[in-house]
Amino acid sequence: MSETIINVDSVHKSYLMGKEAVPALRGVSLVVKRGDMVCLMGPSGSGKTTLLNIVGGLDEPGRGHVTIAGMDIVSMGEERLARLRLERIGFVFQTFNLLSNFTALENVEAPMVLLRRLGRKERRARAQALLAAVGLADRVDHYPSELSGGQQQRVAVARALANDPEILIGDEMTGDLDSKTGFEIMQLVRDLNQREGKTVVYVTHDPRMADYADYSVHLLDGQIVAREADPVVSLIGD
Amino acid sequence: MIGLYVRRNFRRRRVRTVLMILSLVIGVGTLVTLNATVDSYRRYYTGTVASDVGDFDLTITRPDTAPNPFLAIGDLTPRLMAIPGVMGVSPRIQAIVSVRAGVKDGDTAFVALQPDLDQSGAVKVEDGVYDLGTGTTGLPGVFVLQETADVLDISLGDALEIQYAPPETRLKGRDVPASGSLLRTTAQWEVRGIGTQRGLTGRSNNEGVIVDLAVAQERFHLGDEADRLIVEIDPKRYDSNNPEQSSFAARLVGFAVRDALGHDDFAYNMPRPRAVIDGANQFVFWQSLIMMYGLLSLGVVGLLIRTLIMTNVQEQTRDMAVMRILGAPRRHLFNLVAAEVAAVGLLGIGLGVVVGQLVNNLVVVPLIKDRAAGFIVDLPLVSARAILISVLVSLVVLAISALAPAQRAASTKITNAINPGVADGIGLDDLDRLRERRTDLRISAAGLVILCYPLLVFYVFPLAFDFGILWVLAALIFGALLSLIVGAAMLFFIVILPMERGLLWIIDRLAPHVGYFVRRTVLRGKARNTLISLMIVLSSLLPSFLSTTLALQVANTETDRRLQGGAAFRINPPSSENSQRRREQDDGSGGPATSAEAASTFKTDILDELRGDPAFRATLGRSRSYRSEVRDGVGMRSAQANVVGIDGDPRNTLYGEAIELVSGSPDTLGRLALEPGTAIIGAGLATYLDRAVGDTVQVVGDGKDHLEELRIVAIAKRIGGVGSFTSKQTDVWSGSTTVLVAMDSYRALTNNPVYGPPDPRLPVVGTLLAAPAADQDESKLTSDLRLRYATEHRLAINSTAETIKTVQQEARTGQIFLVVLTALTSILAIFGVFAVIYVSIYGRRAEIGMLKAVGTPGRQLLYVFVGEAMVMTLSATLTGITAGMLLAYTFRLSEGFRQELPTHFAVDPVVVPAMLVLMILSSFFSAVIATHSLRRRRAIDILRTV
Repeated sequence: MSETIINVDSVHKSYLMGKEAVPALRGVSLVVKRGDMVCLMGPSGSGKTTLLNIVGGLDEPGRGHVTIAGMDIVSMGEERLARLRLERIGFVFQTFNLLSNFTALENVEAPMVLLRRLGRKERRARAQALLAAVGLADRVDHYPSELSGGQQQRVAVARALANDPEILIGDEMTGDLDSKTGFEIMQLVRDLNQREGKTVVYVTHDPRMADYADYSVHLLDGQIVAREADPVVSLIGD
Repeated sequence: MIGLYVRRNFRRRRVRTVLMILSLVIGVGTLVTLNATVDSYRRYYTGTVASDVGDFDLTITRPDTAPNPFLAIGDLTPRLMAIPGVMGVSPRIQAIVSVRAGVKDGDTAFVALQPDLDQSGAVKVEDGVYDLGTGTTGLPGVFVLQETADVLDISLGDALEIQYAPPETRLKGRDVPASGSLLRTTAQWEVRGIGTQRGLTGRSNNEGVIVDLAVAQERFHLGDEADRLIVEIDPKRYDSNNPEQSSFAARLVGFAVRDALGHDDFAYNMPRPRAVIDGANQFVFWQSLIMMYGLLSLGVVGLLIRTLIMTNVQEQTRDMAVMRILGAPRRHLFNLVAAEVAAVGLLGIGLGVVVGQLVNNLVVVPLIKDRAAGFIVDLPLVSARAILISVLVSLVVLAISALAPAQRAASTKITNAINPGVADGIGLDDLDRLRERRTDLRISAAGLVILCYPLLVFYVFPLAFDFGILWVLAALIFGALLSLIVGAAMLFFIVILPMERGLLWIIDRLAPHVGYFVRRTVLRGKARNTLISLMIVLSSLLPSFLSTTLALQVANTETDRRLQGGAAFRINPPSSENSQRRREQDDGSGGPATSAEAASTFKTDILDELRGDPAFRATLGRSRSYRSEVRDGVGMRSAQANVVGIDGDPRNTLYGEAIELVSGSPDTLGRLALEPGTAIIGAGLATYLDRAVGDTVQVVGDGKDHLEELRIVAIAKRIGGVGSFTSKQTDVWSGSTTVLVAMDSYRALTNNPVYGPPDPRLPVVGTLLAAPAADQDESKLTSDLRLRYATEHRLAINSTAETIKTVQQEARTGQIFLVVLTALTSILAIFGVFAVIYVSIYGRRAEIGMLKAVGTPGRQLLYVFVGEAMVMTLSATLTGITAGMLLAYTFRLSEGFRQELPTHFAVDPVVVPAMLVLMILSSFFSAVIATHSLRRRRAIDILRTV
């Protein structure tokens, strides 16, 4: 049996909207095993992005406990959390959020520069390898503005993998892409999950994209209402 | 709707609004302060100059051709008081008198006035009292001015014997008889006070004695008469901010007085209105310099406002597109932006005016008053002129800076709301517009720019010069300087990139993980860098240029003055010009100098006394210049030249570096005075005539057919202090080159042979150059010489060391002024830097959010943004400094080349480092403050707001 890498225990979270506190999560508990690919689904305002942000260490719960790789992130300071994210978590955003003045290669290189573990040549080689892995070997010197949406998201995926994280967090990764490109990106992520054993947690509105996950977690009004395992075989290879 | 838009924008974008208002407050405040300072200083200066020439509105005297030099007080006063605009009439007697105090005596100025009535000028008592009544000894009181008291060792209670002679008169068309005997009267006074004056005697110095008019009349047997009447004009006539207008208004009273008294028997003079108008003209140039600084500062403010408003517009593109969908016309969107700028402008300019005026009132005016050393100076606290100029310029700058954002708002496309992704592409509307053939305004604009040059050269400048419109000339000169600054800033812009690369190289070495991010943003973020860089280059170029010019001036003053002056001391007898000026100051009549005063050569006894003074190591007598013609002897080439005779070896007296020979042995300098018939000519003249050492030239002498053949013994490039010897032929064309000869040759040339041989005893030394003995302190020697010779013999003692000191002192004062101006422009540049960095960081929130999300520590983010700001700011500052210094050196080197003077290299030790420090601090704090909230916020919070 695989070890638990993410453990969310009775997490509550509220946002202040004007003078009123609006609950976003109400006692959510979730356990994700290493190597799982989990999809968070639900209508707008259900709390899926809030949960994803808490799982990714970007947000903190109001109440409850969250451990990542055995570390309690609720008690962590901002700097330690940043270090955790840098070393163990990769992010892919809906709007790519690439550095506009950096080439594809440099965007992938940036987290490695921040981590300061690799020398210049090793960084470069790894960034090139990652870009080649996402099918952009011939686009390494292109700026984000010279790449299509799908290509930008591939760069974002490569960047998320730069420091070889254990967890990949995706927030509407395919939201800004057309269906075909969206499927390509999801396939890429699924391959990484299967080939390299990366744990993937992602949010999507699109049920077709949820099919790539090992299982989906459905949220409604800040609570998990269903957890459904979904074989991905039907779509893989299409 | 427009009001709501403006209010919401103010509320939602508080930082930007505050930035815009603050920058305007500082920009306008700076301009108001500078303008008000110039205005206040102009009034102070005018007051001071007026005081120097006499704080007299109108002086009435008798011309020296009148049979009676005195005026009947009882007859004229009521007639004058009846003229509208005349507020008071004060009779006076003013003259140069001989004063004896104990064993010492000397000539000094004498003023007899009615102390209760005469309000001209002011007196500051240093010792005793200003009371001209009877003293303890029973003698009438006299107030002695400080310099006279010092020279004659006068103390309180001393008895002073004053010998007075009435003004000399002459027949019309004739000189005053040289041996005219005058009736001199002597009387005694008791010294009751010693002190200084301003504007009371009509002299800038503090030489003289002041007594009661009634006592003087009685002691000198003059009856109820005075030699002048000082008319006070109603001050309301001066009550205008326009100096020309106020002076001419005062002159109308002068005309009325002349109409009432007639112009045959009286001479009129209006020193104060004349000083007011002259002072104003002088300050036109100051005003223009200040305006140039102000325009540069406001240019920075305008750029800042444009950037911030443009950012607002860009952020609200979607909202504006929605308004267009709802039916808002383009002009409505234009008006929204215009209203926002107007509201910011109203607040900023209003507050700026208040701040500027407060600084002027609380800092500048007290400083000027303090400088007036206790004399009352009428300085109005509110300068309408300064405010008006500043507000008008600010409004123009504001309107220009609002134009582009407002146009951008007006051109918002509906697509921006429907499908922002394609809004920037070409739409159907654009295609329609592109098909149309339109006039290319750029060609006309280029034509206008090209036309500017010939227009200025052929029309504007000659017209301004011909009509003497000083402000246009000043505007053209400073406009040219402004163009030079802006042009140089743009030209040197290419240096920024290498500078940035250099700084990035340093950061890469120091902190590679920071340099990695900084390098990419700095070198690739084109639009933002250009804006911030150009602004900073401009801000740093002008102070760097001016301060380096000053530094070069300070560094080269000593050499320049030594080379030009030639010797440590330059002593001149009273010249006719000096006498003329003195006489104008004495009685304001501006009449011709007397023949006795017109002597411009040394009297033999004084010359011998000076030459025998052990304080001098060596002296060299030089004649006055004799205007002549030098010919090649065969009638092919000739040139006008000044012939100067010397009576000794210049090497003994002149500074070593002041002599530079192109050919000929240095020994010839020693032999020249002993060998009549020889000459040393300038290199330019030698080239022009194609003559060399050993050749001869003919010099035209006085009288008909008088030619002297002179043999050239040396050709000089420079002999300082005795004439102009340069290698430039332009000096030959303009006739300013010198031919140096022995004093005997000079006598021969200036003597008409028809009247016999020249008189060897005739005094011809017009200037005595002197070198001090080794043990002499030059400063002390200058004071001693002035004490001994200036007062009694009216000799002009010029010390090169003193001139150097004065020039360097002035340069240092200028440096302080520059530091203040630099600080002010730097403050604005700081705002600019902050605004641009703030906007840049605000626009990169997604990037920052992402960097935080992937785990960038807050400290690393700070380093990156501080690094970016530093590189951008420092590279531009260094570029501006480099450009400014190069400009200053170009000016100095060309000046040195023109005047054939060497250049000592110098770097400004204050302004340039101060500017660098200010820029480093500003970029650091800008980055720290601008990223503060983003660094504190969590990644997710930042990303949510993008």
